[in-house]
Amino acid sequence: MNNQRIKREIETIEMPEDMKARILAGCREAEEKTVPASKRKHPWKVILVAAVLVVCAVPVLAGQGNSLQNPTILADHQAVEDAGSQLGSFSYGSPNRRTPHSLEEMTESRRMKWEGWESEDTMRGTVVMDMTDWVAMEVLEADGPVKAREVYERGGGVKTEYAAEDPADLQGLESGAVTWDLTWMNQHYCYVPGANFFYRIQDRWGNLLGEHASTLYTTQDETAWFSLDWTYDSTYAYDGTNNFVAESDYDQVYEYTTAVGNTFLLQFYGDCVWAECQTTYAWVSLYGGYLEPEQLEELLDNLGLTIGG
Amino acid sequence: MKHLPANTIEEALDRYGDRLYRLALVMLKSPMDAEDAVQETFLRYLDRLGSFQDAEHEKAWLLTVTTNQCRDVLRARQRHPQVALDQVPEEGHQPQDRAIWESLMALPEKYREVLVLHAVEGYRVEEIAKLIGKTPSAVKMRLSRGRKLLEESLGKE
Repeated sequence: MNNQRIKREIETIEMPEDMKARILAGCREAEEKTVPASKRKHPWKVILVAAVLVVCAVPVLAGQGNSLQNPTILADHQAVEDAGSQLGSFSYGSPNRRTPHSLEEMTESRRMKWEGWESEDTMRGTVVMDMTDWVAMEVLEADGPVKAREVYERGGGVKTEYAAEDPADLQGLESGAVTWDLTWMNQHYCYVPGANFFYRIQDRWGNLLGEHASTLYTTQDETAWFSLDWTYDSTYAYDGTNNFVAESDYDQVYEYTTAVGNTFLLQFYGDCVWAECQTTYAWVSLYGGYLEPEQLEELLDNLGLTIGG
Repeated sequence: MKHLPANTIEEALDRYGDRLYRLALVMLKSPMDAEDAVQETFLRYLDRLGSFQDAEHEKAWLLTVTTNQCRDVLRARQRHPQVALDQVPEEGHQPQDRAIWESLMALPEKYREVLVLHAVEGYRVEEIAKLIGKTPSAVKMRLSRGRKLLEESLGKE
């Protein structure tokens, strides 16, 4: 089909003059309602104020984006309570089981989503708390190694979702707020096909609100398995000041800073293992079973992880 | 050379009104709904007046907001279907090439949207992807399928 032919036809369309007049009148009415004429600012003043705000805000936001918010490790419950009583309110996490979920359990819900890609039953889930009312969806790709779909929120938000056999195929879709390089992971561990997802959420104007990536891996002999995820939520500035863990709750808990400078909180209890790196707007986490501390540290060192703003 | 953005709402309406209306009319197939979508777009634009880097940035923003407005209308129609769309009269536009107009209007909305942005506005695949918040491969796929469906409808040229 010749573009010129479509262009010729469409370009004959012009907005009728009476419609133009109505739109202009509507805008003028809205302008008058919003700001009394006597108080209306000159555009240059608005621009100047905006420019000053941007200059002031950028370093603050950039600092917040990279600011580590991991829970603080304290010796025991008494230390947590003492710290909490000084702060007024606090929270702390503790493990509730020594045996990790089985690989089958961890795969099941992912398989439902992969196999039910065209069903609205699988379209929910969010990282942006203001957006939970997903009402419709359009499947863009239902077959092949990477599936894609769009899910629509009642308020006009759009979640663009991808599912992949190989999680490395999902790289490059992210905005850059958080990135990783799964090359090393794919050489040393086995991904679970079809259990790997990525989505981004945009508001009705196309602004990025949040992203989420989720993968599932096993060791090559399948004696250990873990999910490895990251979440970015630009709508909520997380403050971890009042968040604690008690060393006495775990077999082992410590902070580990990777070769590229990301500090993770590592927790081991029975056969369970957790790792997390929480910043103001991003959260990278691992949960699984039967990994040794050295394995976990090596894995985190080789993620090629970058956490920006 | 970069062109300057509009200084007033009148100037913006003169500069972009027709192209936004074309896009909305092609997407919605209803002059009344198209007017509502363009009106809403310009109301949003009021808050942004004076904040665009250049005319190209301004145009891209207006096209994106218009497509989002149109999608809102389409979603509302899905939830509350009121009028059989094929019966909506096309006031204000008399097609010169009725065959192509009718074939285009018979395409699903997602193909009409990318075809207009590509063939009429001259945007490249990557640019359309950014405008409408899709991946370049999805846009490419829609352009290709849209053209194919048009060809099938009109007969191969």
